[in-house]
Amino acid sequence: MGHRLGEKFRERAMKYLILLLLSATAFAADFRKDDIQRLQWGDYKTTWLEDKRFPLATVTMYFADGALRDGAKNAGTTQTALDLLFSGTAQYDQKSLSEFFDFYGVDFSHNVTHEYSVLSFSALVKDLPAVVERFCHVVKEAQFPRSELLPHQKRSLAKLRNLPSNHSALAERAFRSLMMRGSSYEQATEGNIASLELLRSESLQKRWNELRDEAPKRFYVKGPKEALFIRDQFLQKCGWKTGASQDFRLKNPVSGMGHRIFLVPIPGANQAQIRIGRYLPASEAKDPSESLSFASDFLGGGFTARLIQEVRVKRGLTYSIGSYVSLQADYGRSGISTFSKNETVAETIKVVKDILEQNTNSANIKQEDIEHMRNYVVGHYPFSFEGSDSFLMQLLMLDHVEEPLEKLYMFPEKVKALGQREVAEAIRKLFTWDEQVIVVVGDPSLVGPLSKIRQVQIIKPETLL
Amino acid sequence: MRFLPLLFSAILLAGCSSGPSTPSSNLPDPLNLDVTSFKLSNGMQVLVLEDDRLPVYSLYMFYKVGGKDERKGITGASHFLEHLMFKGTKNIAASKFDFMVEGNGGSSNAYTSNDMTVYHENMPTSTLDLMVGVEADRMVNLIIKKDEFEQERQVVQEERKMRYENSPRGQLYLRTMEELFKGTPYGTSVIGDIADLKTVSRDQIYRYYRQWYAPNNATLVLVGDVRAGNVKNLVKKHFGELMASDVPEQSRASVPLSAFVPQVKAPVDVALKGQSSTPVFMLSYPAAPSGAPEAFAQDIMSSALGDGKSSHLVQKYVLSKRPQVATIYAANYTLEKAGMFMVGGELVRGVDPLKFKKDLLKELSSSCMTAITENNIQKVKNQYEAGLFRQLDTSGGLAQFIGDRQSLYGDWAYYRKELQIYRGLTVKDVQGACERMFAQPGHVWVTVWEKNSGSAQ
Repeated sequence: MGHRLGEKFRERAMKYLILLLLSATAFAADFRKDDIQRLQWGDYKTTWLEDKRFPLATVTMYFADGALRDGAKNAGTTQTALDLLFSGTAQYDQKSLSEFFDFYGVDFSHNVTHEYSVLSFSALVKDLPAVVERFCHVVKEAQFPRSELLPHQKRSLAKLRNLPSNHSALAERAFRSLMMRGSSYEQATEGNIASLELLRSESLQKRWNELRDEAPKRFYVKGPKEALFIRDQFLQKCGWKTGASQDFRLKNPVSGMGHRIFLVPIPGANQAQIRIGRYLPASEAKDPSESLSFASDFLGGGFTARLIQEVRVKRGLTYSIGSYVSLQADYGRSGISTFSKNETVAETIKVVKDILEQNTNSANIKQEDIEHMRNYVVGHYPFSFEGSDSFLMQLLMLDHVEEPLEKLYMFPEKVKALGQREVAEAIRKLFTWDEQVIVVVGDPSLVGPLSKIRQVQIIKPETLL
Repeated sequence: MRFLPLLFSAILLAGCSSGPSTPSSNLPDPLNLDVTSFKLSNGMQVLVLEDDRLPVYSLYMFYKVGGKDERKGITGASHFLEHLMFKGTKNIAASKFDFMVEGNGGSSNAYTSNDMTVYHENMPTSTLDLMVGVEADRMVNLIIKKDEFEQERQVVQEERKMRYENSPRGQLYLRTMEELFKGTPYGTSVIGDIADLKTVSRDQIYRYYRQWYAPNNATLVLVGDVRAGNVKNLVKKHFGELMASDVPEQSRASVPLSAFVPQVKAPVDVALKGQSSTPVFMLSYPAAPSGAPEAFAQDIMSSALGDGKSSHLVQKYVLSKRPQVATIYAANYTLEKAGMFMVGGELVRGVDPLKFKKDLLKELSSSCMTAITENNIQKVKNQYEAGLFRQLDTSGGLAQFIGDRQSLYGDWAYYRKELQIYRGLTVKDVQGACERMFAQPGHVWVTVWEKNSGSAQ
């Protein structure tokens, strides 16, 4: 209870920092560089991040194949296939698999993005032989039994139908969907009510087979050296394959979503969630720059950033406000996230607008403010190397966007070279007001005050599910 | 905050034969934490753990004051004060605290629980002298300006709306705590009653600050690229002259331990109307406080019942052929002077909450024999062991881990004893705790649903 500001903005900024690096001329300190080793495991590039502190290992599988492959009609297939990967084989049912992995304290996780998918497990090093043996059995023999799929569908649909009770989550879903409307990225990776109802065991099996046998893949291992002993077992028992590379990336342009406020009505809400941002098409996402990351931090990356100072500290309009920019390989998003009481929603948006417009002009940006934020960003940078599991994910994302490891260590020097002009230009690129999609989740009565800002379009919550 | 993320080391199973009274310093340490611990003459406790992998450190400052130390009229004072601690002091100009931290390449935040208020910073190594000085400064020199106080009052109210008023799960938790701990110091919400938040005065908050913020009520923890010898010098320099205060201990002594224990003599049912299209629920029982032998058995019991895919309740209600809930969990929430065992979750559409509650109660009472087995207990112990390492990946995680134990047990190495106690628990011990839990005459059942008629708080 009582964090002053959600950590998610900072985490998000850190998460995507790695995606924003340019070529550079100077190197920062080589934080933990000696801990990273690039290996070749059979046909697969593998990265080992050494961590000797504890007898715990993490093994991560990256598949260069994500939810884009599902298409609109089958949205959620990839996600569900990984959700149910451990739901049964001919030899072991869901319960016995759960018992086995829980007994060894194994922690599984998976993450499906539009562009790629990740499957990961962590276990005590001493247990790795047993865990890998059973894990590989599942990799080869997963069956996605209908008897497990049906209750899973029921639970997933129940959660989705109840999403409007979580205003922040609903705002995120609405924001993404409306911002991406018309593109291949519009569908949420977890699917929607219509697509989830269509899921069949056969389609999940087919999808998993594609990931296992066809998708290009890389492996990542974190832990002490002893963890590497799983190499042969992991390769031979799991039987990974890679087929011909397929271009599953679809780069549909998105336009015309600005100039409107989308209001998702929740009767009785006494606080409204606000999201402001835009989609960055491939042409812009392919031009990553640390200036975008820095500009995002400058606006809303800490307690001293422009947005938090103006909206919370000076005016008390919200508890939390932050901005972010996230770039995948072929597209990106910029965003501002906040909330306010009903009486001040319009005022909050107006203040954000003023801040954005003011900071797109370099004459309005003080050099001392840039110096201050630079100290923050550069000084805090070593923390992005601290947690081994999060560092491992940064290495994975770096590979995903096909940037060399060296880029990671050049960021501070590049940030030091930024001036008022570069920062204003980056803010203009990300947050030009007329291009921003605005989503508000709150009481229907907000249509009045919001209409004074822009034309308002009502989006019923059920149409987002 | 769940106080004790449970832990267990199989390494210790064979090797440790010490009894429960053995000092923790004499017990094996699977973490090999080389902590330097010292106390100033004014009573402030300091812990230092060196790690020079990166040129950074984490600073955690624990104050033993939280929601339970408040009274009617000033509920939420600990948390409100936490917000105000980022304003100015005699030496830091108004609202410049964050500028100083971030301008030096760091970040800061804080949290408040029922028992503690914790401030933390992640900083570059070069700022150590500065930040130790800053923490000493705001321990005694806080200035609360009227306009900043009123501004922050608005912010706290928005936080309350976000966490509770517009969140069915927030409503659920808040009401559960109020009902289960009714009449005890734990029965008020940490963020405060809305009436108190609107009326509490600047003077009341300042008095609260003066009462509780003192070196003898604080623990300072530093983990990272620091040297214990240097830290000792800096801490003496900045904190050494600060005066101890006897007020916190006097206040605590005046409240008997029994005053914290829930007195639920009969089942309590609450149906709140809220913005959830399917019912979310929480069933709670009084439980043992942190460190009590019974609490350790209750920890294992709760994990066996509802933590992980293979746990009893998840298998029965979520992963069954006919799921009744979309999610379910069991947890043992141990506080300093009391505890709460809870089962929470979200029903799927079409499942009647009252019928489900009846079935759940029946299931729980029979689960002590069916779910608490040798295999399940060993499984939980294995999970604790792996989980222990996972939570210590960062300097901040380590600082919180040892600081929690120092603040609540007066012993940063108390985890060694925890390991020993978990190691010694048998099926019979856990089954006994389970049976005593569900034999209690009272429990609290709260649902939040759009079809409920009860008014939400």
